[in-house]
Amino acid sequence: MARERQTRAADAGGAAATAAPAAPAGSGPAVTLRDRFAIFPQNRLPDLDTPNATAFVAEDKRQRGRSMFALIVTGGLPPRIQVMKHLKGLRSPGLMALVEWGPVDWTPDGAVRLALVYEQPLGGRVMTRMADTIDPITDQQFVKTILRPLAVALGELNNHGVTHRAIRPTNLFFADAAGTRIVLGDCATSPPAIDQPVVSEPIESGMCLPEGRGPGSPADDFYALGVSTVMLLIGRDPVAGVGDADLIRRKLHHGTYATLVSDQRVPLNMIEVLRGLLADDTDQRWDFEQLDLWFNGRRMSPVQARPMRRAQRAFVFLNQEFLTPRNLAHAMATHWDKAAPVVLEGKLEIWLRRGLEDNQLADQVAMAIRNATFGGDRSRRGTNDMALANVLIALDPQAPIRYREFRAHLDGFGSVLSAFVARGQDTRLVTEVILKEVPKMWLGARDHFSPEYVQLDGTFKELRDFLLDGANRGAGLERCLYEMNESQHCLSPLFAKDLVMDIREVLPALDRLGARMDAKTNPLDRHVVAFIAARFPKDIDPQLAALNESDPKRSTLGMLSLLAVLQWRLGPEAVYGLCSWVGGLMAPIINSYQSRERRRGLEREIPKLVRKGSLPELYNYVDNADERKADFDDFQRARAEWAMAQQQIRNLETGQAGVDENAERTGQRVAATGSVGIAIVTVAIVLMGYMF
Amino acid sequence: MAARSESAGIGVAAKVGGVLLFAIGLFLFLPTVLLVTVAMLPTAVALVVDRSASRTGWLCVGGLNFAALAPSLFSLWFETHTLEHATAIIGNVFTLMMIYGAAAFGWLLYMTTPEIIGAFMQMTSTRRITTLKSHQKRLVDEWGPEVAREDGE
Repeated sequence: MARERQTRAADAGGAAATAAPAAPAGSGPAVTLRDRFAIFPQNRLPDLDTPNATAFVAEDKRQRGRSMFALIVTGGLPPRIQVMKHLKGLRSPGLMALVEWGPVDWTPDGAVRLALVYEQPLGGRVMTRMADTIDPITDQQFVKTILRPLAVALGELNNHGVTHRAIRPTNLFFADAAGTRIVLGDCATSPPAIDQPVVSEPIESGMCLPEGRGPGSPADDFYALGVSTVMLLIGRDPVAGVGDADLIRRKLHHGTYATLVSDQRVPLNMIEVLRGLLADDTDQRWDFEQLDLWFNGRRMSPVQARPMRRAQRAFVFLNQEFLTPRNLAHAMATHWDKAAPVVLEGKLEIWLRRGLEDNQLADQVAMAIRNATFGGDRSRRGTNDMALANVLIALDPQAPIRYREFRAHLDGFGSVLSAFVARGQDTRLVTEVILKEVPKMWLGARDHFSPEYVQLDGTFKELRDFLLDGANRGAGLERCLYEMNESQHCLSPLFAKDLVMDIREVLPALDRLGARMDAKTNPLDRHVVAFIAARFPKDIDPQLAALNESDPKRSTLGMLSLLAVLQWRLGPEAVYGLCSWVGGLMAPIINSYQSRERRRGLEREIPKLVRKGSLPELYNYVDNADERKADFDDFQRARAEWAMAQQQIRNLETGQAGVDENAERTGQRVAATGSVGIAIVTVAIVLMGYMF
Repeated sequence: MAARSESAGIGVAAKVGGVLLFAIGLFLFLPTVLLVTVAMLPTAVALVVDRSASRTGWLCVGGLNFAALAPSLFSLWFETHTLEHATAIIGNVFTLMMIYGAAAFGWLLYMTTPEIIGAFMQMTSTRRITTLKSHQKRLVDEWGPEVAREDGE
């Protein structure tokens, strides 16, 4: 299946002919890149398609007649932005020149897409499919006209700190119509090495999932150059028809050179360089300096593969005998469920001590198993998987991390995750590997110190923390995705029609959406927050913490605060659409004020602030500390008043029960007093009547 | 002991003195005693039948009873203080009706005043409750139902 996929990928261009395409003139409506390069969506160039991009006719408006084509990244996999930055303007005779790149409003899809404008190779692809047979290049000038320019191109890339990782005959082009010069094709539209056939990859890289090979090192490019050279010299793939698993097994047992070259007729003068390029030991593999020396006539002793340490007696696994730990590890990795019991039973350790007589390795294996079984709450399957993954690392430290069907180099984790997310595949194995700290085990198995390992260890610890904190926005799998993939554009569904590759593009993109978004959609979904958290250079932990609060008011304030910080730090000066969008989401904040009068005041003021387009101003207004304090104090006073009134009412209602008794007593007293009063007054009046 | 027998002796002497004075008074003011005894009969009845807690019914009846009696009593005192005049007053149906009517009005007053006072007090507290509730409603309108929570949250 993988082989089939890679074959399809490697066969980019489909059944296109190798014949040199003429430089066609563009026609119809054009899409413009950076106001200079016209790309014609109606003029396809299927011969130049790559697995993740579609080719179209392009034209330089300032230099008409110059043969160009554009690759539009239409696939779901993330292109290599960093590589594009380095490739642009890099001129090398062995490299298809990247003239310009950038996002364009791609009208056929109604979305923003990434476009790469290359100088068009006039001679077409060297091979359209890996299974093709072409005329062997027997030119005496092969080294000078073909191999040297390609090596120089790799040297140039090396100087820029990038690797090509797409060197295969189906991605080599004849630069001229006469077919005298070959250039390396595009390497930036897909993740590194994802489209490489296993034959073109070193053993360790070939073991990986295609997505998990990672950018690797220049040595991987020189290996691929060696493989391509063999194919050009013999006119075909020497192992065409051999399955991937079998090919890796052959390379492991016999070495790459023996597998690819030993039965072939290659010019004698090429044997030395091929041995150097196809060395399986990266320390022995030739790099640009050694190639340059060779080009300049210095002849060196042929590289001889270092013999692997072999056991005195074989270890039998699945009825096959194994004499080296590396081969055994590969067999175990490919028969995972059958290997786990064998490892845990201790047979392997015994063989390592007695058969291989390597007590140190046996101790490492024992330790790897102990580490895996330590911590009793894991499931049996989980323990077995972790134990086997650790044991495989101990047996073959050069191999990628292998964990059930997952196989990837540490620098390929990002591409795996990116591809899995883009395709909607299950990412459980990736997260399991990180959570179980298998990378730490792999780094611990290195035989030398490198600052890069320390950095990787820290990175994977962080990733583990993000996964453990997965429920929160700004963490989880999405955060890992953006942390591990510098070139990963934001995959938020909000940006389905947009292309947000840089942190500075987040607010403008949201601003464009703002005008047509309803007041229920939150601008900060999991992808957007993870993207911002991974790319924003300053500490935004307080904003993220607020954003993840369950209280809607705090969460909304966190959202506004995060967006405000972004605008404050990175601009743009005004985001009217986004302000309008966010302004419609302020209900929880408005409702967090107790005073209805204040709420009405906010509802009147917010539209005015929205019209200014400033998120920081909006934030400062709705979260004014003085206003909040006044609101709180007034509210407490109102509560006290309400409680006092309630108490008085209660007292009055309780007093009403005894009102009749009181009234009777009072009434009787009043009546008696009145009666006596009348008597006194009457007596006085009568008495005065007699006296005066 | 001597002091005790002395005070007992004084008590008996006072009682004897009192009886002698009443006898002399009865002899000297017989017309007055007759008139008062007959006219104030409702008050004596009120004193006996009143079982209220405050026991002020006799005062209420007595006050008006005496007020109605006062003109006749003063007429007896300031005109002719004779037994004939006293019996003439008692024998006058209108005078007696007025005296007993006033006593009856006093009883009526005693019966109705508590009801009136009760109704007034009821009206006052209901009004106060309405005012307080209205204030509470204004607070709820301004601050929302949260202002009415009494649990401190």
